[in-house]
Amino acid sequence: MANLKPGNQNTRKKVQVSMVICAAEEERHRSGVNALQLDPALDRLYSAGRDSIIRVYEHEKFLHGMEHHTDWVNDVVLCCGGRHLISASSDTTVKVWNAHKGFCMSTLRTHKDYVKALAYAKEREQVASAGLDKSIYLWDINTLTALTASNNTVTTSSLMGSKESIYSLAMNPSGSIIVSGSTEKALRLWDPRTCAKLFKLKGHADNVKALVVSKDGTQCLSGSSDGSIKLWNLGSQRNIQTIRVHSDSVWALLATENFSHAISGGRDKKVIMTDLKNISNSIIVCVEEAPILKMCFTADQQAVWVSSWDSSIRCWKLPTDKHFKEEARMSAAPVSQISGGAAIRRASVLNDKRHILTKDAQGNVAIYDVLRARKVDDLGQVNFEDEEKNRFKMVYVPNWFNIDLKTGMLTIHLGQDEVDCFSAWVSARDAGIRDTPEPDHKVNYGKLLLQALFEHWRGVETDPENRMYFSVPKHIPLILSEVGGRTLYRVLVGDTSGDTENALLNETVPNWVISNIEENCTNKFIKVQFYLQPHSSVPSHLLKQDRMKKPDRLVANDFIQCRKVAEHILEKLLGDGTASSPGCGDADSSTPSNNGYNVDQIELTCNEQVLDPSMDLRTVKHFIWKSSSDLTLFYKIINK
Amino acid sequence: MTILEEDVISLRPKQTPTENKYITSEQIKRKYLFKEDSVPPKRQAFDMLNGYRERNGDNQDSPVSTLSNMGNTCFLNSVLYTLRFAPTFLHNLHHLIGDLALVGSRLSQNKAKTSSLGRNIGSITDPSSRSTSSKDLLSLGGSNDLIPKSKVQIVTEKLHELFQIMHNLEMKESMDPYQPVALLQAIREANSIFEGNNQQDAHELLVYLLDNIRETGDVLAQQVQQYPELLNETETTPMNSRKIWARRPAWAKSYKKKDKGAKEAISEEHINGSNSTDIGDSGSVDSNNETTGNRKIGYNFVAEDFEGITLRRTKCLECECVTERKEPFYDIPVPISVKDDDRESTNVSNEHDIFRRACVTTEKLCDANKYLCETCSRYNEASREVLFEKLPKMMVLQLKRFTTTTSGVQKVNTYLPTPLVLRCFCETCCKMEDTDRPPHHRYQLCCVIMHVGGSMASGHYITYVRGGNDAAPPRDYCDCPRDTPKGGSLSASSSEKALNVINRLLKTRGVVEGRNGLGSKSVVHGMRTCKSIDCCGLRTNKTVLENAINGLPKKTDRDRPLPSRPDDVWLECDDETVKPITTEEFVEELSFKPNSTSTPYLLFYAKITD
Repeated sequence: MANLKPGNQNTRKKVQVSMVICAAEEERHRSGVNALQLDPALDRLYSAGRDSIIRVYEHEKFLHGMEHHTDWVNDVVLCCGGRHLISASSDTTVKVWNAHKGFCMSTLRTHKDYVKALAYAKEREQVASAGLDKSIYLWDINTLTALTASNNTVTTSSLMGSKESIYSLAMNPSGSIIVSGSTEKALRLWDPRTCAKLFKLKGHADNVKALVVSKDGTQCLSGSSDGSIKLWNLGSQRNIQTIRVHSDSVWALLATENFSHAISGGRDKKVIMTDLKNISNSIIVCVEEAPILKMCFTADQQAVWVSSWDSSIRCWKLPTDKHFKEEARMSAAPVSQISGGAAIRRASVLNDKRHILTKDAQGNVAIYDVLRARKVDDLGQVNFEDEEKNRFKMVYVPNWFNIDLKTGMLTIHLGQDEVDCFSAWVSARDAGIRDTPEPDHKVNYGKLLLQALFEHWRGVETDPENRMYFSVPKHIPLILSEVGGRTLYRVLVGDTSGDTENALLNETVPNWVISNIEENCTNKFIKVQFYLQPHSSVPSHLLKQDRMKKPDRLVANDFIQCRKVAEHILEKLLGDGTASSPGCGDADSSTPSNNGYNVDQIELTCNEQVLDPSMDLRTVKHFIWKSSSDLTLFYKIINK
Repeated sequence: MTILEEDVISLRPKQTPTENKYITSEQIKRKYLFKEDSVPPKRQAFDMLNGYRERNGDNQDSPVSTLSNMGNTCFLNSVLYTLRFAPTFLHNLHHLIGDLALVGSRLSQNKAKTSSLGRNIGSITDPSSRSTSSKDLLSLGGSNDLIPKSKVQIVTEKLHELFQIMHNLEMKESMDPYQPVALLQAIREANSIFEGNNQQDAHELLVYLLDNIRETGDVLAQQVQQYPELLNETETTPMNSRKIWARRPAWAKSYKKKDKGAKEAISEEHINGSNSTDIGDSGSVDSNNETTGNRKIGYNFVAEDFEGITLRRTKCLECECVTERKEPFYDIPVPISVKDDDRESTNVSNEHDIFRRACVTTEKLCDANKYLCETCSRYNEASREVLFEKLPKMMVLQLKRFTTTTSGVQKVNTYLPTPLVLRCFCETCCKMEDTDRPPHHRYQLCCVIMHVGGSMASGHYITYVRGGNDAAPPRDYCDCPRDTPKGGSLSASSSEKALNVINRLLKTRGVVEGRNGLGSKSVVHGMRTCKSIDCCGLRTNKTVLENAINGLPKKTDRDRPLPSRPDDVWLECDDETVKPITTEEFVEELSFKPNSTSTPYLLFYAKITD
């Protein structure tokens, strides 16, 4: 875990705290698989998931996950004979991994946007990375793997000239040529040895998302979103063949060793093998269930592993000469399959702003508890909308977090922007906390969650006075990132007490978190402004004189219940206000005050709707008043 | 503002007073020549009227009635001139007003009575009740309605009233500028942003007026939906009902039943029938918009004529899923790039594509402006195309000449060519172009509102409209399905009123033309025309127009072929001055002039289907 530069704290961008609600071991891909690499020596398959995890399968059995990215992993290359893995991600980083042990050795933060593609020159142990920031960087792997915490600088050469976002990249093993495909709809070529721009190949009508270069660097295959595959002669800079076998965009390409056949896959869910000498000769290898993202040869090159939007990876037999001569028929079943899990596709925060109803790609509905960062119930294949409706409660709690499903798992973001994570105050009772110091104790959801997330870092769990109400599982990833931007640091909640981690957190945890999670920090309650007006039936002699003139404009905490307002009316607005102690709790409320009325006889209405005494003001404002203007409540005396 | 007006005048070929005199005498001469030689009999009426005019000795001839500036109201006048000359606008507005009055009066009758539905219908079909309804129609805008009129509706009605007045003034040959006070008052009451005597944005007013009319139409349509029995009235005039409901077999059947008598018993069923057919019909009207049969009550012509649909097509570059969003629009804002190199690229050959290039655009959503893709549940790069699924019959282009900068609103005076004909750039036509086939339709410039001056507040508006429709009335009047010869609708009654006024006028002037002769105006060239043309229709004084055109200075150049059929004429409407000019002069006016602050601001293009 060397070379983690958590970024400069002085940068202007606001930092948010996020957590991913996941299982301790996510054995299955939760979402699509963007890239595949095979280590034939160990029979290991590396798959780069959109769920941010790279998984390793040995003999097609899950070995371990490589978790450190915080967004889609877009591409991986295996280098140094399978010892190291380089990965590119939409978290804008390139990571260097120890492939055998599965830990992240270093993180390269040179790219400024999603890193979409990698290319590897085996003979030179060189890797190139490119992405939406239009730049290509060349990395010397031996330098990358030698990086340590103290020696953490690396020089890179960049290949300039691309005018648009790069979506594909390819290099030949000798590293004599590099090709990029971009939304420019053209291929651009460089000589990686000199970093000199060579030329541009035009011909595609849309984005180029897949590229293969022949070993000798004389030929190149390109697959485009225009649905065509083009074979280029790089020496003459000409397009030799245009293959139109797909009915939609081509997203994945492979070429056989001697560049005799092309294997292509794409949005039409088909994998097709085409004879490059006679392009009318093509065979459908398989039809997948989802658009195809990547393919990789098996060790014997007789079959391909195919990954798609679907989380399962399947191995399909490739056609042989027999098939091309129509002497044999293709099998309709895959050779083998590595099953994936289901991604969460929909999520809806329930009214209590604590539970989240989710629905995954397989239609299973589940309920998560944000405060405990875990799934609390599996409802199975039920109707999401019905479930959402059934769980509706007329309670209004302000939003305090954002959710994000890009990885197929629930990611909760806490920040202080449009959604202030400290805006939700609820009574401890409503939060399900027993043994509270006082019955009306208020807790803040955001504060509770942040306390739980940083509990090990702060080392507060040993202090019995500041006892935790909730805690989150230790395997939950905690991510500090710039709002809408780059990841600064990712660490598991349980690891935050480690020395290195602790030091790095000290640098990265934003001030707004530190100053707010201390138990003794001052509470900033959200206020509601409202008017109180007597109903016409209220006898005027009961009212104090000045109450007749204009309505009372009052300010109260948004979680104040109507009962409290009624008490206020009884004490301050009716009679001479010599009632007992202010702010009396439940015990006092039923005792009659000196003008003979009790709290239960005060009826509050808003928009002609009678308010339940246990309803709080923000709920009244949100569900009954339904306006951003100041709330107006009417009160009258009823006889019981 | 006066300074600016002078500015404009100086751009025109200079005329000295003596020249002017000469022209006037020439005009008279030509007129007589013209009359002797080639006046077709059908034009005689105009010429006689014109002769009367001559005796009045007006020195400022205007082919149409004019509006006077009441102090910073050129923004209003420019829009009114435009709407008046916008194809089919007057006609459609007339019918809307007629329907409104019809429905309004029936509604108030209905409300006034508490009788049962069956009896209600019986009583309405009673002739006496019909006469009251037509009385109501005449007292448009009166306060005897039981249902209070919305301010919006009043504005629409006042607009129609103004056009009626202008029509009557034209009939009377009275060319005194009219002050549209009532309309302005109504607008100001309905919308506070037009309050005060400040110069306003003509575009804002145009959009407001159109929206107003649309809203009025919507309310009307709602009322008709709500009380379908109101429509039964129209049934009492067999001619009319057959015209409107001809395409409804179900209705025709029930109608027959009704004819057989047994009114009370059937009317109930009848209503049910009308309910269901109404729902079915609304769909069929939508699909048959191009046919003429859609002019039923509540037909929303603003939506039909002025509303187009933009299509925003976004493609996520990751999953390549395409999402489309459609939005209706009334006008197309055209950004004006301040770059100079643009002028070079806008040479004549691609001039008619200039607005297509400005409006049909593709942008890439990337970097910090990524697109939240619902399929990928994340921010990705995306390409976004803006296209036009449908362009309206009347396309309004608003050149974005006013930009907000740190120092306030500034005017961009950059020259942009104004082609007289545009290629259509709706999605279908764009696609057709790719296949090298000629597009379906084109757009012809019919009105331009020019903004003169350096800023919004101090500027002046001048309208140029394509003038001179031939002797034949506009086509929309001829095949109007709503023409009701003797029906109780407004068109008949008010046209009758108009006729009476004219008759009286003519009689007093000794130019007696038989009532029949004038009345037959509704049959021009053997074509039946909608009577509404005699209520608020445009009546250009052809003679003035022709004289003016022929009398323009370049006429002295005898070698040049005499210009200009009347349809080649444009009218420059500058408040109380309406001056005919030739197309050449108009093109000259639109052409590039260095440092000119006289710039086209709102362009109105009418669709021509080839």
